[in-house]
Amino acid sequence: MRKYWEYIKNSFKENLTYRVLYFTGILQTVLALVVQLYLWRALVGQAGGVTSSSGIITLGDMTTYVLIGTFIGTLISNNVIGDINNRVRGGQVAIDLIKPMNFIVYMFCRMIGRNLFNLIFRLLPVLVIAVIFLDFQLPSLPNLVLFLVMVINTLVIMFLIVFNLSLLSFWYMAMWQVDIFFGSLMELFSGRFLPLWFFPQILVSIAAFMPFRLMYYVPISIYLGKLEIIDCWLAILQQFMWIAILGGITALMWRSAIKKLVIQGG
Amino acid sequence: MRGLKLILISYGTYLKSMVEYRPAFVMDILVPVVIYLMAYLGIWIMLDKFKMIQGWTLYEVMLLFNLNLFTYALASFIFRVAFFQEIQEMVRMGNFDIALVRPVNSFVYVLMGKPNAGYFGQMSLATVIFILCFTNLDIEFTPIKILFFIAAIIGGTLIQSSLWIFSGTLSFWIVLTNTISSTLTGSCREFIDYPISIYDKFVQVLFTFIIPLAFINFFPASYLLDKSGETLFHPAHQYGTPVAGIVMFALAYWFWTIGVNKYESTGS
Repeated sequence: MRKYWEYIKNSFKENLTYRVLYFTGILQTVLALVVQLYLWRALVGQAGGVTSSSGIITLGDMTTYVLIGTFIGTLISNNVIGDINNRVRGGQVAIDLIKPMNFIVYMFCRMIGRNLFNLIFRLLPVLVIAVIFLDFQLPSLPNLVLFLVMVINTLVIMFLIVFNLSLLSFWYMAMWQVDIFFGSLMELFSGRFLPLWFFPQILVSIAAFMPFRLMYYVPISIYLGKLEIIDCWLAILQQFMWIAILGGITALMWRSAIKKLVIQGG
Repeated sequence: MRGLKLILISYGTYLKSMVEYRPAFVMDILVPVVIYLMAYLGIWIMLDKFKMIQGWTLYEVMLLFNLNLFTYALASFIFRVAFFQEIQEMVRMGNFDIALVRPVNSFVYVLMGKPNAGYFGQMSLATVIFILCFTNLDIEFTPIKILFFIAAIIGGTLIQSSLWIFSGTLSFWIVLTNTISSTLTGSCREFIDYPISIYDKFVQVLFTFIIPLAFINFFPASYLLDKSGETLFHPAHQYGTPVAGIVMFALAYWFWTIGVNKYESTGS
């Protein structure tokens, strides 16, 4: 177990080295947040509230929604696809496989290290600014606990998705295409920028077939107290279901990816 | 003019090499199209629910987004590879020496053979969306408006290009400029996906006079759609896009020459 803790620490420190990357990262997060806040002020602000499938949505709701969405997005951001793609392209993956460690757990530790870095250095500064300047709602204690459980599950789901996608690099060269396609699919159907409250029915039904809404829309709804307790438990159950499904796919994909692996010069 | 001709000849060669790898070429074009279709789907969902953003209806907001997309794609087609990837590598490795000893302007040299064909996808999609917008919007196309539209596209493309040139030229001072580029051409550009009249005065001034992105889409679209009295600024701003484009591009090119003069290569 100890070595995996070291992997987490290593990945955490790696992220500390690139300072320009760090500051532009925060700047980009804040800029995106500003656009969203103005947009929702223009859309929801004057009317004093908008009707939706989850009752009246006020500007205060949307401000908190956008903020929590940014927190989740910042926390779970990672570079697993790029990282594994480089290892496969460069042949480094052969050495990783020889080492006495589980490659999947190793990559998970690297992502968690990055996420811890995000939490402490990228999320907290933005959170402090938001609490000072913005009309930011706090949840009730049970909702907060349920929310945090869902966020932890979200991390696991995120890892399983990006790990499976990155295994495609054993077969497919242009991984950036997979990366941005997945990114924009998740952006739309997770409800990160546009809550599923405002979606037409047909698109809500389509979103129900994807795990993404369980990563942003549902946890934030719980945070805002827009869901009944029973629905919260149901959502967490769905998350575990997705973890099981994606885990199964990972096991299958991993086995065939290893068989496919050919290293240059071997 | 000779520089332009050289760049065009190099593009011909580049395209021939691209169609050699047909599946990869097709995917490079197709994936961005799908991604922007999803972005338009998002806009549709939003406007289907809310009907208007600050008085701008669905096709008007799509026109805004599309002016931004088309000029961005055109500028990126020419400048992205050179100024986002190549320059910073060339300066870091000392390879920029080659550009200085070639018998062409170094600016022309770095652009030669480095278009990004992936942006054909965005450009074609944007063309289709333009047609969609214009058939659904009630714009009376007089010859003056058509000329203005073309001038606005050229001006907008010059502004977008200047963003790539400014951030890429920073490579002469800073080792890693990628993230600065993506802040300018990504995060800042998100502000003009919606009418800038939704922002506070400070933000409007910032994106009109300091980083004049509002000239890419908001002002020309206001003219085409006959929207006046919406912003803080004088209505004459509606005609400002070509001027803003030329000024920004000239400034960017001037900045480039300063960067080149500052370049000292690596080694002893």
